[in-house]
Amino acid sequence: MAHDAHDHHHKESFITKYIFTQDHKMIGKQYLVTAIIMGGIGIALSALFRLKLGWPDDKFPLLESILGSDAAPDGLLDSNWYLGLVTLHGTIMVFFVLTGGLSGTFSNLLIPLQIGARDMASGLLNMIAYWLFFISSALMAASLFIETGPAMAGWTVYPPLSVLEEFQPGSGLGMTLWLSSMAVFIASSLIGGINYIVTILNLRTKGMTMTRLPLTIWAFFITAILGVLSFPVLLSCAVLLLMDRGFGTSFYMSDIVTSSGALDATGGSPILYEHLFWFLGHPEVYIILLPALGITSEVISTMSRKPIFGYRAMIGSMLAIGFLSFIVWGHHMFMTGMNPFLGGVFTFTTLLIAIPSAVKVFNYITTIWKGNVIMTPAMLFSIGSVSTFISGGITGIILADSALDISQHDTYFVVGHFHIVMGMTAILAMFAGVYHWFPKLYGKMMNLRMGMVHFWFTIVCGYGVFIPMHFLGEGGMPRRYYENTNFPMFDHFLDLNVLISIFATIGVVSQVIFFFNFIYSSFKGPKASQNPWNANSLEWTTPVEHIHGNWHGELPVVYRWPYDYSKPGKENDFVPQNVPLDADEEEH
Amino acid sequence: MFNWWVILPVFFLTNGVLFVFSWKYYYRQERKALYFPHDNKLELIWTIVPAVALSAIVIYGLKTWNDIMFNDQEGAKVVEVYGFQFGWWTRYSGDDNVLGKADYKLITASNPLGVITSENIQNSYNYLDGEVEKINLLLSESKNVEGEYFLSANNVDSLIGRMERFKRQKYRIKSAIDRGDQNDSVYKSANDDVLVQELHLVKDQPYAMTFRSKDVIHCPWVPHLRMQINAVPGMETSFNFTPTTTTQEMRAKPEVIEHYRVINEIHNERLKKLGEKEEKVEFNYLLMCNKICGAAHSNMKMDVVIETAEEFNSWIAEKPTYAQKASE
Repeated sequence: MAHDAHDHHHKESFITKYIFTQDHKMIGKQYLVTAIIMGGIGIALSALFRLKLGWPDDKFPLLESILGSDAAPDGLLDSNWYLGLVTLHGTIMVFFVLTGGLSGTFSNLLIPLQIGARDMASGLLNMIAYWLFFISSALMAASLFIETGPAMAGWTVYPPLSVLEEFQPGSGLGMTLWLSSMAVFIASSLIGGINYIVTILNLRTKGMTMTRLPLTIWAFFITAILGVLSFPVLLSCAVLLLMDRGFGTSFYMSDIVTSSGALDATGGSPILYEHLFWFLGHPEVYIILLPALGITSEVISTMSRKPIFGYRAMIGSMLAIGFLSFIVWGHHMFMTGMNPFLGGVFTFTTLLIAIPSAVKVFNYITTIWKGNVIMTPAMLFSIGSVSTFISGGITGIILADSALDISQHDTYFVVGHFHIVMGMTAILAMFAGVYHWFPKLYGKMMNLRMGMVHFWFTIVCGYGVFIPMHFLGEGGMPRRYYENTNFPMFDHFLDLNVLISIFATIGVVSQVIFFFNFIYSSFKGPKASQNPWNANSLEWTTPVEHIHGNWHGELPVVYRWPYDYSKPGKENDFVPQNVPLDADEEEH
Repeated sequence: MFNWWVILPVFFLTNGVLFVFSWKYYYRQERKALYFPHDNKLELIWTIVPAVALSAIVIYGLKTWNDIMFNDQEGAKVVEVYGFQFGWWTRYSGDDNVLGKADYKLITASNPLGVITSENIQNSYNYLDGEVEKINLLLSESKNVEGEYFLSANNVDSLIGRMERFKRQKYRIKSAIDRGDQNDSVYKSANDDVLVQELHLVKDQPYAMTFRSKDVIHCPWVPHLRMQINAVPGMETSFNFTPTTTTQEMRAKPEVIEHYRVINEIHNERLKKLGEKEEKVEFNYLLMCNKICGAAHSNMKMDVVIETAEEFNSWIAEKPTYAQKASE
C-alpha cells in the first residue's frame, strides 16, 4: 500500500489546517480537546449533584448562580433537575468522553502512525465523523440550557418515563435534544468505526502483519467492529422511541394511564426497549474498555522495559471479550420480569467473560514482574487502571450472579461497581494515553511532577468515592434518589455520604492540575525528542513536527513485533520495529 | 457469602501483587528486565483456575436463582402490588385467593387499579360521558357569533383529540370488557378483594406476589427482605416468597435495637438542626421504589408489616371488600 510520499508542503489556511482538517493527527487533537471540554462539564455536573447528596438540608447559592433559579430555587436543587444532572452526567461521560473521546482521540492519532500509513483510508470521512461528533456534543450540552431541563430519565432513558412530558418535564424538549444528539453521535461512530477498520485492514506498511500490530491497534480494531455491529441497534431503538413520542406508535407503550386519562397505546412493551438498548449498552462497556486496555498494554510494556506477556493470549482474550460482550446484555435486566430461565443463561455468559478478563490481568502483572519499571505518570495511570479493572471486575462477579443481583440491583453497589470498572479504568487509561503520547500530539513534554500529583489525587479520590458506595448498596440504598432523608433507615449513612461528596469535590477540583498541565505544556513545555520513552512502535520514528503524510520519504518497513524490550544480546533495551532482524535472531 | 470468600482474597491478592511488583521492580540503571514474552503453561493455569472458580459460582448461583424464581409453594396467597407516580396500592385476593380481573381502561379516581366490576364499568361510562360532555360544552362556548373558535387551533385540536380518545375508550370498554348482564358472574372474583395502601403479611405464610404499574416502570424493593422486581406497565410480573420474621420480632433483636439507637441519635440530631420536633424511629419494613420514575422517586414508599395470622385477620376484617364498597 506504499503510495508515493506526499511531500507537498503547500501552505494551508487556518481553516483547512485547524478546523476542517483531514489530517488524522489534527482530528485526533480535535477529539481530545472536545472530550476534555465535555469531560469538564460531565464531572462538574457530578460535583453539583453530590452537594445535594452529601448535605441534603443545606442551601448552596452557588447552585442557583450556576444552574439558574428554575433548577435550584434559593440554592436548593430541584428534584427534577437532580435527575437531569444525573442523566446528563451519565450520557456525557459514557458516550462523549469515554466512547467518542477515548476511541476518537487515540484511534485517530495512533492507527496510521502505528501501522505505518500516511493517513486514514478516507480523510474526508474522518473529518465528517469528527464534525458529527462535535455537533452531537453541542446538542447534548445545549439541552442543559432549556427551560424544562435536559433529559431526566437516567442515561438509559427507559420509556414510558422518557416518552411523555406529563411524566417528567425533561421528557419534552430535553429528551428530543437527547435523541437528536444521539442519532448524530451514532452516525459519527459508525463512519469513524468503518474508517478505522478499513485503515487497519488495508493500509498496513510492508512487513506489518496482523501479529506484529501493537495491542493498541488490536484494541481499536475490535472496538470499531463492536461499534459498527451494535450502534445501529441503538439507532433503531432511538428511532422507535422517537416514533412513540411524536407519531403515536406504541412500540414501547401499553396500558398506560396519565393524568389526562388512559392512552390509546396497547401491545408495546418497555422491555423491548430495554433489550434493544442493552444490546448496544453492553458491548458499549467494552467499546469503552478495550481501547483503555490497549493503551495500558502499550504503556505497561514500554515502561516496564519488558515485552508484554502473552501477546497472542492478549489478542485472544480481547477477541473473546468482544464476542461475549454481545451475549450478556440480559444481566442488566434480571429484575425486569424477564423469563427466569433466560436470567440463568445470562448469568452463565456473563461469568464467562470474567475468564478472558482474568487472563488479561494476570498477563499485565506478569509483564511488570522482573521488569525495570520507569514510573512516568503514564505508567502510574496504567497501573491504576489495571487496579481498578481488578477491583471493579471482582464486584461484577457479585452482580452477574442473578441470585445475588436481586439484592444489589439498582442500588449504590451497582453505581460503585461500574464507576470503578468502567469509568475509572477507562478514564485512568485515557489520562495514561494523554501523558504517554503528549510528545507525539504536541511535540512537547508534559510536566512529570504535576502528572504524578494529578494521579494520586485522582486514584485516591476515585476509590474514596466509589468504594464506600458498595456499603451504601449493601445497606439497600437505591440509586438515583434525590434525597435519602425520607427514609430514617438510611440515616446512619449520612456521614458516609458526606465523605463521598468531599472526595468527589476534591477529585473534581484536582482535575484542574491536569487542565493546567495540558494547556501550559502544549505551549510552554520543553521540546520533546523524537523517541522520549525509548519505545519500539512506529509512531516514534516520525518527525516531532507534524507533517502531512507522517514520514519524510519512504514509509518504514517492519521486521519485528513491537515488544522487543530488553531482548538478550541487544545493546539497547529496546529494538524499534523497523530494525531488521540479525542473521541468527528469532523474532520472539 | 460464598462468593465473598472467593472474591475478597482475589481482590487483595491481585491488587497487592500488582503494587508489590510495581514497587519491587522500580527502575535501576544497572538492571536489565527479564525477556519473558510468553509461556503457554502459565496462560493455561490462569485460564483454568478462574474457570473452575467461576463454574462453582455459576452452579451455586443458578441453584439459588432457580430456588427463588421457580418456587411454586402450595397454598401461596395471591397479593398484588400496584405502582403509580408516586405511591403504591396493595390488593388482597380475599377468600377465593383469586384477584379480580382489572383493565387500565377502567381506571378512574374511584377505581385506581381499574378492577372490573359492573359498578366500576358503569362508573367509567358515566365518567367518560361526563368528560365528553365537558369538552363539548367548552368547545361550543369557545365560538364567536360567526361560529369560529377564538381558542388557538392547537388548543382546539388537542381538545377534540382528547374527546375522541374518551369516546374510543368507552367503545373499547363496551366491546372488550362489558358483558352486560353477565358482568356479576364473570367478574365475581373481584368481590372479596380488598384494596389498601399498606402491605401486611403473615409470618411463615407463602405469598405469590404480582406486580403491575399504572404509568412508568417502577420497582417495588423491600431492602430488608432483599426482594425486588420491576412493575412494568402493560405486563404482570411476579415473585414468590415467604416472610419469616415479624416486625415485632425484628424490633426485639439486640442488634436491631442497637442499630436503631444509633439511627435515632443521628436522626434527631438532624431534626434538631432543622428546628423540627424530635421523633422516635422504630424498625419498620418498607417497600420503596428502585427504578427511576420521576420527581418524587425518592419518596415513593409503603409501609410493610409482618405479623401473626391473628393480627392480620383482625386488621383486614376492618377493610371493606369491593362488594361491600359497592353496596354502601
